[in-house]
Amino acid sequence: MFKIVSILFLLSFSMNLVAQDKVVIISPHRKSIQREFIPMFKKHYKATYKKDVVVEWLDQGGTNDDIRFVKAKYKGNSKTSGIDIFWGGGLASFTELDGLGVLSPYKLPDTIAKDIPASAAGISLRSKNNTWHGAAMSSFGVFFNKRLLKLTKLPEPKTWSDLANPKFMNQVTLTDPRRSGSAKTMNIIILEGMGWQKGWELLTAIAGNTRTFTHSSSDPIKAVESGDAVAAMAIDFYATAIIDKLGKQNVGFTLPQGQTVIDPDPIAILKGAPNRLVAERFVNFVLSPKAQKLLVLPKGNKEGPKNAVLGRMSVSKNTYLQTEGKRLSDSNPFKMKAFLKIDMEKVSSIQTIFSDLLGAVLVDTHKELQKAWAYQVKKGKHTSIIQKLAAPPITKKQLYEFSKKWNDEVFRNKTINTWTKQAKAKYQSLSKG
Amino acid sequence: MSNKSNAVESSSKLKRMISNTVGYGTVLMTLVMLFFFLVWPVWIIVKSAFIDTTTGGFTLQYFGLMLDNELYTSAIVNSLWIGIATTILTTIISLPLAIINAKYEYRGKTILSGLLLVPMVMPPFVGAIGIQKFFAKYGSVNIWLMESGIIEAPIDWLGGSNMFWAVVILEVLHLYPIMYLNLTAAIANIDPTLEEMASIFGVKKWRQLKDITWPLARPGYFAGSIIVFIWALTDLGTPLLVGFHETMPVRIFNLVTDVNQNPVGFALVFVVIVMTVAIFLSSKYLFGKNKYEMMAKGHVTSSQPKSGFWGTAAIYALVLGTVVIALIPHLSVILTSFADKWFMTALPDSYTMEHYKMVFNEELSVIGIKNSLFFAGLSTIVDLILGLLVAYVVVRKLVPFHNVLDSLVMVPLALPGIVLAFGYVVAYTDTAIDPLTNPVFLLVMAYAIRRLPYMVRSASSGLEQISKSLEEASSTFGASQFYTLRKITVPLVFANLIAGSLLCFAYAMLDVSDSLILAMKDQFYPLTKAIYALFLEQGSGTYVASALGMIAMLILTSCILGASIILGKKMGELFRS
Amino acid sequence: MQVRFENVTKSYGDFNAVKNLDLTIKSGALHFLLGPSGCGKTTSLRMLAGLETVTKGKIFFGDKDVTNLAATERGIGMVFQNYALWPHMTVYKNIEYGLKLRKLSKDEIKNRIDEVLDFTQLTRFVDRLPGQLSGGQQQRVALARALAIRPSMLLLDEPLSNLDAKLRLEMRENIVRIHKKTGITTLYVTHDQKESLSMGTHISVMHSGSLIQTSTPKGLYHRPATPFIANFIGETNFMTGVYKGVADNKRHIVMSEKFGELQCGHCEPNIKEGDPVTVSLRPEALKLHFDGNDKKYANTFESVLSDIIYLGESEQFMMDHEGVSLKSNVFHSPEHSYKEGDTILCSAKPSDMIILKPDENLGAGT
Repeated sequence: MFKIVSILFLLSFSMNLVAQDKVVIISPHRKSIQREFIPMFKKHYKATYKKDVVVEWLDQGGTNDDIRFVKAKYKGNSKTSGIDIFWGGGLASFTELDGLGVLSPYKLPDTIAKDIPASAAGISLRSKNNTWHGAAMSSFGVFFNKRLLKLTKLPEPKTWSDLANPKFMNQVTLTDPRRSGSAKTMNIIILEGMGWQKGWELLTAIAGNTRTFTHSSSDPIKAVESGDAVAAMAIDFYATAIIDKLGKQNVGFTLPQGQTVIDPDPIAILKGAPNRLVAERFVNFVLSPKAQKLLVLPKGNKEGPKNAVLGRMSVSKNTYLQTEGKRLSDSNPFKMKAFLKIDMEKVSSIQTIFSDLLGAVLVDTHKELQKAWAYQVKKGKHTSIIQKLAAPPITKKQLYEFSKKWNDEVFRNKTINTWTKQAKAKYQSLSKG
Repeated sequence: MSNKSNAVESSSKLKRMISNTVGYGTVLMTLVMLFFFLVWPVWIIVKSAFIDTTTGGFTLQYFGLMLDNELYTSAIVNSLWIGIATTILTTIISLPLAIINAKYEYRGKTILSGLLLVPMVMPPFVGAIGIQKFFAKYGSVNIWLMESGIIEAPIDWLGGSNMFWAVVILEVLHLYPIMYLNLTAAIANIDPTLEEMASIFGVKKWRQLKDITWPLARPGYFAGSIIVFIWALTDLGTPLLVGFHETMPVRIFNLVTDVNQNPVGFALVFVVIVMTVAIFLSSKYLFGKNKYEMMAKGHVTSSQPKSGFWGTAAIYALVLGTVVIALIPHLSVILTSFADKWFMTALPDSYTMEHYKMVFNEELSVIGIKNSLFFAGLSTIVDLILGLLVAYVVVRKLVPFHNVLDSLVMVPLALPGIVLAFGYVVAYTDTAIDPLTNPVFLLVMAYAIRRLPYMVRSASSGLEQISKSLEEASSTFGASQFYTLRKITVPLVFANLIAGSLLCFAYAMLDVSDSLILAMKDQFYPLTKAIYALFLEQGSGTYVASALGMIAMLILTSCILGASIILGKKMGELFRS
Repeated sequence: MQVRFENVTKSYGDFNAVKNLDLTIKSGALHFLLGPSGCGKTTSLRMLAGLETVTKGKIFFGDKDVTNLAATERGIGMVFQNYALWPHMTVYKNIEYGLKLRKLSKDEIKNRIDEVLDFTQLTRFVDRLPGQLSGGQQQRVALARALAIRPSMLLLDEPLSNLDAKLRLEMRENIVRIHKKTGITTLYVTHDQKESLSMGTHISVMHSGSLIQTSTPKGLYHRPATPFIANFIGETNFMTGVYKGVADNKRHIVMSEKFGELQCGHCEPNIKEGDPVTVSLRPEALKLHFDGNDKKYANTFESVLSDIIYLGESEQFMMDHEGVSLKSNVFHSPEHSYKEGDTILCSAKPSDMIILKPDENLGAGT
């Protein structure tokens, strides 16, 4: 057995011996993105820099896993992780990484920067200090099962508020905001957009209608597909892929008018990147119109993806101009009316405590909430009681204050325990006369 | 004359000493391996349960916080109930099957008893889809029931108050093969004359079962039920699939995969480890001490009655019935893999081979199959060596702390997947075996350590069944302990080792968490991570992943059926302790 | 209770373990089923117990056909070769178990247990587990357990084979004593001819699945039916020849190529003139004439001495007659000076010369 071990050692060393231009990327992105971008980047690199480039693509299976890995790497060696680029995983992940100080600023060259506006639909596309750059965007909307709508005689949902309608009781699926960066971002934007009080009421009512909170942002789609739920809050590109497969007559997707929620999906160079130059070249490439077109064009188009449709939104304004009429979807985030204009970076400092709060009062106590909601709906008092039902245990101001102490795990867990207990007691008191 | 014999004696003494040194050296190496690839990496991760994040000092507050939160305490209670219910139900299902197989001869027995083991293998991720397709609110079962007018509104099989039982039933269907193997072995090992004697006394069959068979099979039964119980108690996949989050493993998973890695999660992990060890040790003491040595081993007589036509029909109905029900999720995966489009109908609207074509054109699936066979094969060899040595040391009580060692090797059964794998990442980052550069060594070790309990239990049962006098006979000829182990003991427990290897191999092929976390680059992807990568793809992802999952199942099924045909009856010698 | 096998056959696939067995066990007999291992004796016993199904034929207990009666219904007591003591029950529990099922009163159960414990001298060991007993003690527990239910029939399957020689002798006496006391019809299976000769009232010899001869111990020794039995029960000398019929002096004449004309006192039925036959002569009946006086006896011939084995009360002379080995047991042999290579004159009384019927199918079965 030890022979095998020593052979493995040798193997692992020999792999590093070949000197070549190289870039190491860690990314929770799907294989389809890797498959379109990487060969094209290699070709582009050879053509532009007259050299071959090796791309090492790492993934541990999910965004949280990749972040944890990078954190562990920096814990071992605070100067470098041995990785050059973190790509994909949504805004929440990057504000988290930025907060840890592991992202390295990179100012885009003007040739690239000129096509990319600072924000889309009110959401920033890069951090103030250039630590991350949005490389694609996804939007949130309502995904629904049209057949089931007919069977259950429900109206097609058009806004977020429609999901709060008691008619949808037990028919909605959501993702646990603690488990998914995109769900986290979506909840923050809704709360900021609607205002603290109204936002909580909306989220609480939707949670009351919710059948289950899933673990992954792609699961609500599956629940709708299999008929477990009629509607789900979902990410656009998951939805379009399923609609493509099952047909428009069966499933549908809407972006709530004037309530657009957009999540930029960034790329960033990591601190102490061992291959900084190649990493910068890669970022430039990903943001270039040539690469951005892969996101929006259908399969079969000469400039489009070779293997599978990606169905994302581009961050490059110019890309939309160049692909007018040829794109998969007509929607253009740069023409969308902003739902709100928020400073995501400021908001993101509360994202952990905020999702812990949502988790405590909406997810972990979901059973009690469902009961209370159903009881009040039955009594017809749900509109009048919602304010009481949805009252968060702390004010917005307290939330910001608490967030400073949120790294103290004892304080954090104590607070969460209190929230959970209070919420449970409140729901229980509201589920009987 | 006496001089000469002294010389002979001292030379053989020297040989014995060398051999013993090598032997104990190997045992020591085993312990070192266990330390470096189990104790240390796990401790690195789990120690956060005792460290105050603000002061960095020692604290027990997280345990208090854990007990203070009803979510966690009720999750522990739920999980215990899942464990208990699963153990009881697997017993009810497995007992008749085991009795049939131990007592009756019927046509096609080898194949049928092999088929009974197939539900043990369930490809990850796509299995969940399979179950959803059938049991969702508008899944096949409900649609079929509604179309045939049996029900009006869909039944929420996997939702609401059904969740607990949905989890239990899925666990039972998945775990009964382990119980069945165990009971078959326990019953088959009972000297048949003990029951015949009772027959002669006029004792009715069921009464014999209660008075004679059961007390004698009990130690074997408890050895199996302990694995089933701990498995059901700590299984993450099934409750996640059903969406029953109020269980201990899901709570742990949520807490430790939290971006900040909530230390309360590690406190829970610690509790699970302690619970597992406590349950294991107490059952070992309570039920292990009542082992009655059989005066004679069950001799294979001609007395296994052949079942008649109706008997065979009943046996087939029972066995095939169980297999078919247990394979429903698998069936659904098969349908999905061939489905062109399947939306809110009982069966797919149309079928296609396209997904299989895609699988074979997909580089990842070929890499995955190759890697998995290689990693799982290597890890099985590691398990064989480690498992045999540990079992030997424990059963023959060669070290003073053998019970500690025996409990230690049960711990991987209780560890949440992420703890061990991430422990490796943290412990071995920037070393020669950094998973970032080449994860093969750590993957093999992770696979091996995680499957070690099966091998140790399997080897222990074998070692306990062979009389110590066989080894003593060898040592009277001057053979050293470890020469005896190689030449006498190993051949005698060979069947147990093969059976243990089969389990290790099968479950290593299906490993999820270590594979996801440690195999970070395409070229190292095992099969399961390849399935996962395909599964995540939008559109036909689940269909293609189902096709690859099917291929994985075919590989494993042929392994199991092959082994069960080769091993025949000895298959049942598994897991006895 | 009289027990009868009527043309019973037991087959496993093509293999006949027991062939057309016809056997009556008289009420109160201590009947032995004797034969080498694999001869079908244990299978026959298991069929009697109801542990094996009967392929063909019938079994009667008295006048009652029990062929299809389950073991549980037959009311038999049995002692297995390995005793089959339930390892998880004490001696007391082992014995009590069968009694409890019979719904006897508590006092009755206690009386019976005391009785059999007394019988088997086990009273001291009632609270032990079988694993804590010696082989002989286990054997006695098995016997006590079987007797306690007062079975209509007792079956013993090689009950003494796991004991040492001395204990075996003791237990033989024990079993005979108990049998005499209880008078239970007993079928005793063994491969040990000495056991059967010393204990049995009747012995049936089986070979290759067939019953060859049933007789009393004496009858079996002195009138074996086939060469197999002659050889299996004690030692014997064989002489082959052709049957020539009955002479005027009522003796059966066999012409042997090597021994000349042999006059025999007994001939098995169904042997016709011209049939090749084997003649058996026990070693103690082969007379050696140290004085050389030859003409007085029938059946005389010369043999060359090859060895003498000293047996204590006797000496066995090993001899050779034209390539045929012969043995003669001489009790209280007179002083003599014979040594290897010497020629000795031998003779045999016609009444000791038994003409056997040939063995059948000795190749079949294992």
